Amino acid sequence: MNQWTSFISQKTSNLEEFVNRSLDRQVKLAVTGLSRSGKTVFITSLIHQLMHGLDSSHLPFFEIASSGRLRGTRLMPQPNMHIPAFRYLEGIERLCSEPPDFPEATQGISEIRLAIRYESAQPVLKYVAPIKTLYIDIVDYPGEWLLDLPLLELSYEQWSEQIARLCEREPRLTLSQGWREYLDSIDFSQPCQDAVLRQASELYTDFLYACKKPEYGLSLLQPGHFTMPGDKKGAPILQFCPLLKIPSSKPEGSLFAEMKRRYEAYKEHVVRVFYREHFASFDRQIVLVDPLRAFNVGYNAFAEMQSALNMVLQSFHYAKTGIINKLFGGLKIDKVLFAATKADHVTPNQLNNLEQFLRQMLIKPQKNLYFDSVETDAFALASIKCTQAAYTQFNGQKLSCIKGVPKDGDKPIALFPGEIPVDIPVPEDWVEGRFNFVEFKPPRLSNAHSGALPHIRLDRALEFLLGDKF
Amino acid sequence: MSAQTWKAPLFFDLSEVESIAEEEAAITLNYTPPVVLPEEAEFETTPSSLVHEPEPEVYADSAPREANYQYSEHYASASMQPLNVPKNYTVHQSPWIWLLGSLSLLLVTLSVLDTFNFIADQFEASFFMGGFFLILISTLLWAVTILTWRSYQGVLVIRNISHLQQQGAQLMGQDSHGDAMYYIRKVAVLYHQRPDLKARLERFYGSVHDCHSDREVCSLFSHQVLKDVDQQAYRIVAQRSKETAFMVMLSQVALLDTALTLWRNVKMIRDIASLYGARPSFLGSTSLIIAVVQSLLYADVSEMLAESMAETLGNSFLSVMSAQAAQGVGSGILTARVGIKAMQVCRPLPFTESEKPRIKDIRWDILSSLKNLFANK
Repeated sequence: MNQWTSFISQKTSNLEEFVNRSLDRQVKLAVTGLSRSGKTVFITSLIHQLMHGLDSSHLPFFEIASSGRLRGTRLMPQPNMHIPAFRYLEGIERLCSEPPDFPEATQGISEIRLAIRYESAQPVLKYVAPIKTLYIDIVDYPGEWLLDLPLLELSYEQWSEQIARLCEREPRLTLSQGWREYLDSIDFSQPCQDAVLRQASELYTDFLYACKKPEYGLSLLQPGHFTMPGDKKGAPILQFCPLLKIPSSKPEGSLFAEMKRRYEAYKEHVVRVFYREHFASFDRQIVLVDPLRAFNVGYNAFAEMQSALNMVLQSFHYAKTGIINKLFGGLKIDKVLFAATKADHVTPNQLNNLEQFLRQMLIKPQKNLYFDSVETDAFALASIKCTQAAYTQFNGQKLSCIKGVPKDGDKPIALFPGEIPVDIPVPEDWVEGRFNFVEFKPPRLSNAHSGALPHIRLDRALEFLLGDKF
Repeated sequence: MSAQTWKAPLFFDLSEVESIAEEEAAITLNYTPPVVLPEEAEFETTPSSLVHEPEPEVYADSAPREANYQYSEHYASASMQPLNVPKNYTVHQSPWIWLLGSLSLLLVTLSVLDTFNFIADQFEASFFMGGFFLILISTLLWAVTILTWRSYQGVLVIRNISHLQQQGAQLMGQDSHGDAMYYIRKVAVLYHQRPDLKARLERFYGSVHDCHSDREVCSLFSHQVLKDVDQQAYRIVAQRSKETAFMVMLSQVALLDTALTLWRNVKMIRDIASLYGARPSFLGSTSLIIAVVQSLLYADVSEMLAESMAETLGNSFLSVMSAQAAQGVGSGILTARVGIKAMQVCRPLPFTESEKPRIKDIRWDILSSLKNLFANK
């Protein structure tokens, strides 16, 4: 009996949200992307565009804004009090500072709720309720944590085997040397010693940090909390590591058993909690990818980014659902947008190539989604446009190029950043100097507090993700 | 760019690079603090800020009408040649052509000779009479020349529009970049004289930027500028269809029905054409009507079938109505169909699937207005 009442009370507390989302009055938007793919900048820009996008010429492809039906957007108190609020104003402050800078990389989870007021265009509702409100919930989190989600499906042995296989190849082979040598010197069927566990996990964490360095740019780094511990720094739950060789005898209380216990605890208390609280149900999803960074590093980084995204996208629930299904079968993502960020770092005539390339790169998840009859699209976008397009004469021909202030400089430069290949490159394509996409600083935004931020195709992204909810 | 590809990045000197005015306005790269200008500083605003790529500006500065002629001539030469029939395909000269040609040459020569003789005779009779007839005939010739020239211009405009449509369809069908603004400026010349579209054009130029692909630029223009014109044209079509429906319903003579429908249709086609900027003359509207009829003839069979099914079976109101009213509805719907085809022929940018005007809504309009008429009685 007691069990039933608690079940019902739990259901009713979420009932309002549930009904709202079923009736298209509330949207939970998943902003998915590996670390450094531009999630925080995207969310900051998205909020800013919605709050200052009333000038219809700024978001021409966002129907509700360009038709003048958008009344305005406001930040709302978030639904979950125990989660920090997304620091939107801080991000804008940094963009407006002197010199301007991008918002800081995310260290922990944060949440924001927006209320969009708009004039209804539906023939009947127009007279009954002329002004309507759509609530949008967005969660920001470190991209590293996303890679924990695939762990939910893996046992400790399976995961260890996966990591061991990855470490057979360069550059992981050299980077992991210290950790591997230490593991080889320990017999894991011995009784548990805390010092050994701590030492092994520290060496493994060092290895992960080395992989993360920009010159290697590897993204398949599990467990995600090791490199971005958040509030769990130093907790025993983060003191374990995969084993390269599973010992043949696994007695109770051995090092191996303790490792496995901690892995399971990590899955249960860190990953599953994170998943249940923030990732279990979404309505729309945008997957941000930064292919330019992978181009700069090399084939390994690229291949790893691709497989990491493939893995991560399997952790979400997708389906095209009608209202009945929503009410009885739970909420599922029915629209996914793949977006290549930093579109302003290539010349405008390369945007199409960038989009084609993105499609090629994510062809596998896209096919799966098509099977689930989920609508997908791929854009190249820039949350904040940092460069100007320009033209120059080169070898007697007109050449399109871009001007901007590079990340490590103060003076603007002009360059043609190179062509984006349409097909997935093979390792031989990374010849010396082939890809060198320069990173740029954000532009000076003197009126960012009141005016809208310059962007590329953010309006089309908004239209795709939210357009049918109005 | 297309002839040769540069794969690795190239760096340039800042002074070598041509900037785009509005790009500079949107994004400031200057890292020095802003300079406060004195209050009496003068600001120049030039129409060239609307221009995207540095290109020779042919139309923007010259007067719109002149520009109109210029580019229509330019395109006349282009549109004359799309059918490149190889020489060995040309059919043997038919004797009919020789017959007609020589006959008309004979007529022209005879009339010129006759006129000359007539005026010479009059001059012989009296100088005053000769002068009078000379002036009269020259006036006549002048008027005929002017009218012919104008009609020819009208034909060119219609041809230009169909050429623009082809270009637009091409731009919207491919993933290109950088060609659309040139095309859009050619389309926009058609609307330079329209005060009602001025604000919309300005808004369009304000919202389009360099990173938009050709398809995006076209759909933006279509959405922000032409949508308004589409709605006006749609209202004309609906209005004319309703008028035709009423008139045919009221008239008792079959011949009058046909004449009425024809008259309203021709008027509607001309109205729609001038709305889209084609301003047809007599000859121009003839070729326009031919184009509309052609597209009606080649209309999708299934579309026709579906529509006529709906027309005959769809509404129970029709089945109880008199034959007269049914006839009215029939010719009203025919007019609507002609009107929608005329819109498709006259619109410089082709309709996308979602923008296409639907006959369904007009049919509903006609029926409800007729119903209202009966209800009021």
